[in-house]
Amino acid sequence: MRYVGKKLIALLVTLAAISFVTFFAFTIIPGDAATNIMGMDATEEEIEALREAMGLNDNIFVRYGRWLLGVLRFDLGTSLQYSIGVSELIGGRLKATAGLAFESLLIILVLAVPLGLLSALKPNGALDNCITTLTQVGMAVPQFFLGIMLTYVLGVLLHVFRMGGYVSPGDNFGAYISFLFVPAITVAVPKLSMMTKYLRDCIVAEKRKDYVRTAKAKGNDAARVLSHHILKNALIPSLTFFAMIVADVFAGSIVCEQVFSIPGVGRLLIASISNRDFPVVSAIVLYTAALVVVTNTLADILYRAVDPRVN
Amino acid sequence: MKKRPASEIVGIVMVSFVVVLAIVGLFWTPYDVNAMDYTLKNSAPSFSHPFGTDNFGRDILSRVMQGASSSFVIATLTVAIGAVVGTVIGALTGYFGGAADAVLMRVNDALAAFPGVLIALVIIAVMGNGRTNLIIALGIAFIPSFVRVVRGEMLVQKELDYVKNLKLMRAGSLRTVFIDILPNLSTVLRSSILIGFQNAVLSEAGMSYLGLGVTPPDPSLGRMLSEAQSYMIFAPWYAIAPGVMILMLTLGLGFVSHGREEKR
Amino acid sequence: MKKFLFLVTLMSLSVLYGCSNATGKGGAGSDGGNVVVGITQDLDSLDPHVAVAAGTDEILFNIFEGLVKVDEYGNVNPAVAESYVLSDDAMKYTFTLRDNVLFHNGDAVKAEDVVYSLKRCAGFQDAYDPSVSVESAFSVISEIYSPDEKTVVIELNTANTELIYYLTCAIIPKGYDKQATDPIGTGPFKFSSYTPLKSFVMERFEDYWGTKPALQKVTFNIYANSDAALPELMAGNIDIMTALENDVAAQLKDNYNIEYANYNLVQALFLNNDFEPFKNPDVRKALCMAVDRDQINNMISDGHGSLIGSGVFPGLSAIFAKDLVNYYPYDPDAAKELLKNAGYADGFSFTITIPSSYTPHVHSGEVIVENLKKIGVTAKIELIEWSSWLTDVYQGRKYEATVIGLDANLAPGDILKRYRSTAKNNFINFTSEAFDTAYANGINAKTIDEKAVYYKECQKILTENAASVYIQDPAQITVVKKGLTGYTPYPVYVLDMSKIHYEK
Repeated sequence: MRYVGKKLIALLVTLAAISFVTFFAFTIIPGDAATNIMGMDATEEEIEALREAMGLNDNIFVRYGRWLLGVLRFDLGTSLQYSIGVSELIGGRLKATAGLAFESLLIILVLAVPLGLLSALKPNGALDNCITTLTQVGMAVPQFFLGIMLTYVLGVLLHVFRMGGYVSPGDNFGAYISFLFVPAITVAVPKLSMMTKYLRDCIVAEKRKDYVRTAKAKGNDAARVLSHHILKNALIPSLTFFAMIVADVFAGSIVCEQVFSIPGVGRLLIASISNRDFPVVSAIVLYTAALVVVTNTLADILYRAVDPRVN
Repeated sequence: MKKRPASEIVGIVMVSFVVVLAIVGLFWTPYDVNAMDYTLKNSAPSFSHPFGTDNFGRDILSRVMQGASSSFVIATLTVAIGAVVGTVIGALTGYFGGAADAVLMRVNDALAAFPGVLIALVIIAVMGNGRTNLIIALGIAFIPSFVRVVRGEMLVQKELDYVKNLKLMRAGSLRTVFIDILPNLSTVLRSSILIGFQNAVLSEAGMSYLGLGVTPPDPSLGRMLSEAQSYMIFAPWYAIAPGVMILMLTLGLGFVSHGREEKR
Repeated sequence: MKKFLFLVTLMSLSVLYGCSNATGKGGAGSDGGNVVVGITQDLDSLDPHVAVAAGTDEILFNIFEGLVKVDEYGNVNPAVAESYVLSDDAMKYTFTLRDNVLFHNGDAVKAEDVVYSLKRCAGFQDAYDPSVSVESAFSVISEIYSPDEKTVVIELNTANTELIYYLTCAIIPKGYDKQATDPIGTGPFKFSSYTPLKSFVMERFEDYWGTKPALQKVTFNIYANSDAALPELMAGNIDIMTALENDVAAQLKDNYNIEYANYNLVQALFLNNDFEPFKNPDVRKALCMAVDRDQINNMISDGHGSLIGSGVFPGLSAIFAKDLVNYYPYDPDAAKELLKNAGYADGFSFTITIPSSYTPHVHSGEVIVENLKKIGVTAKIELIEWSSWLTDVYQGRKYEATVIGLDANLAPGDILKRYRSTAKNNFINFTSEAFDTAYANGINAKTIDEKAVYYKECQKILTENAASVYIQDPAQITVVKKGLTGYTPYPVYVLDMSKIHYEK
């Protein structure tokens, strides 16, 4: 339990550090929200007045303190560009990104385990070689290229996918799920390949260990050994690996949302960086970091719970 | 010595093909990479332009050659920054431990918590666009994974008998770290570098797709692909050449690193 | 399953159109159908006084109106006002408001709403809002008031005959504070919903005072870029999309009509006249002759743009100086000679800073770099974000050269005012006493013919001094789905949806 507490404190410190760095970065970038909103024909004085009104002229520590206090009260502020509350703004975009991430992770989970198992059944057999080659291709394709190809094959040639067909889940849940399926494949493929390969390698390594040989020598049948011992031991490290994938899935969605014009958090992030909308950027960075740190920490704790050797 | 698996040979062939094109591209290309000709705009592959021409009538083969060398240079430097800085930090913190280790690992975790693309995006927003800044941004984004790998391996090595013996024999611990232990990490490092290189090529392509990195008119494979998207239907050759080039490089690297792992 | 869903959607669509066919098109109360417009720029604000992006103006034109409104010929016609009188000394505008003009919330437009809106735009103390980008042309206004319910008076502190063009400034309800999220105006369409990065939807305003639009609903879908919209266009899911490349538009000609118009921009390689080699007019002239404008026009839009030779675009036909277009013909040899005489026989190098989000400008820059190579000048492109461009280039004037397109209000002098020596937005650091005098004469002139003489003089001075390398008014290429008509190009940034209707 003390371990969990220690982890929790470390987690909070990490998040605070990340958010401060983001803030600091934004004070260095040329241009700010006031210039951006005012556009070409504003005078120096007008921009200055808006800056003052937005509180951009305060010292960075004052602004950071103000923001941090807000966050502690669950108030992320208001978007300088959209004049909408940041939580509301991100909340809306999160529907798209969360769906995308969830479907991708689901695809990875559902496919990686059986593929990894099949591949490891007979290392270097025909099936293994086939799956391994596929995973190599999956890891080598640039994500946006895959996205473009899928769009043209499924959308333009076969007409089974509608490119701009994103609908929000509230309007039509079925259409929402089915639209996100193709982008989700795009996000999933590289990670799915990595996960499959990782799982396969773990199982193969496990198979070579002495206890498996002993078990087999004792006359236990292969399937039983596989399900009872190997799989259990191979799945534990894979769990940690899966947690690391969560972050990558989010990163993948940044590019993917651009390719498929999905109004998600990734596109909002890119737009907000160029709009110099720092309340939105800080919030997204914080969300991402929190998501990643929390999943990693969870995986870590879980790992310790499952595997008593580590402590 | 084991025989090289077939896939590794295929990989070596693929990578060499791109490397040869890229190296030749540094010194010679069939046409001036930036020479434009309106009358040749978007023309299909022919004898004079084997890969066709782009929306400015520029020779795609020449641009792919230089684009490949530019991808190569960027990926190499990115991995070099990540590997060198990451190895030094990882080796030192792993070996010595203590407060510095705790602090640095916090920073590293914080960095690792971010998707690499996001770090690079923010760094480029701060420092401005351009090839050098892209290399620095991606290089920084690549450090944490190397730190993690080297530190982990260092912790293992530290407990081995030969290190314990060395500790008893000599006090020069820096020497122990870099001269005695580090060479033993070379296998791990080599595979990390290969995978890192593949990731670097992919990241560079992804960043240029978002319009960051090499500035036009200089060619870059990722940017060519993103521009080609507009002409997919009536000039598909524009997308095919850089797309295949990236694939050959990354897939080739994948096969090579896979082959190496199998041998171990 | 997917295929089946797709079929069902198709069928339901045809049912919808079938219904609207049966009820007939046009006229009040009938359903004139829906239209989807593809755009690639998100709106920068829904508040018409805050919005500054041209892409936003284009859309908000349908929602908001001023006292007067622009038409497709570049005239301003009464809108919320029924008529107006300008005093003989050009110091006082008196507007009579139109009866029965309603806001989208059902309230009638009152004189106080008009006074409030104008004051807010002019940055007056009693309607001050720091986020409003104050219209600098309103600095000549000394007072705005309403003597009675039907009249609004604007008094000026100096004679000005061009102010009327700026009175297209949107009229909004006084004291309404949700303009940025739920905008209310008086235009032919009313705001329906907005989802950042996804869509902007508007519906026909049934109580509009003028000719009601045929369309029932218009959805502007926001795409990440035109590449992302292309598959949608190919599938026919977008009815209208503008700002396309010619090659891209040509791929769509089976299902769409292609409309060619101009952006109404002055696109130029702007040179910082304070930067060392560009301090010398001969160097600037050499660049003017070295840049192949035809090649840029061909590469970017297959020759559909209009070349320019000075700081005014052809759409401002009354003052456009046609004779300056070919003042500097493309002649790299003569350019080289000029450079040699200016002491740059071996050329020089400089950086062209371009906002990365504007692909046509980036592409033009690529051609320019190639052009300049031929006279031994090495240009390097630097791409920066729009915000950085505003800060560093436009306001900070810390740059060497840039490629950008300048737009303008229809007021004849608007596009030229930045070149005055003392102008705050004179970002190229151009100074010429002769220009300042000619410009002042132009503003004070009473008739458009008189103005034209002075403004043409201004253009001539810009050209003779080679203030910058003026390139073209780029082509705006729009695709409109077959069966839809009424697309009307304007000489300003406007996408008038009220004129668009289905055929038959």
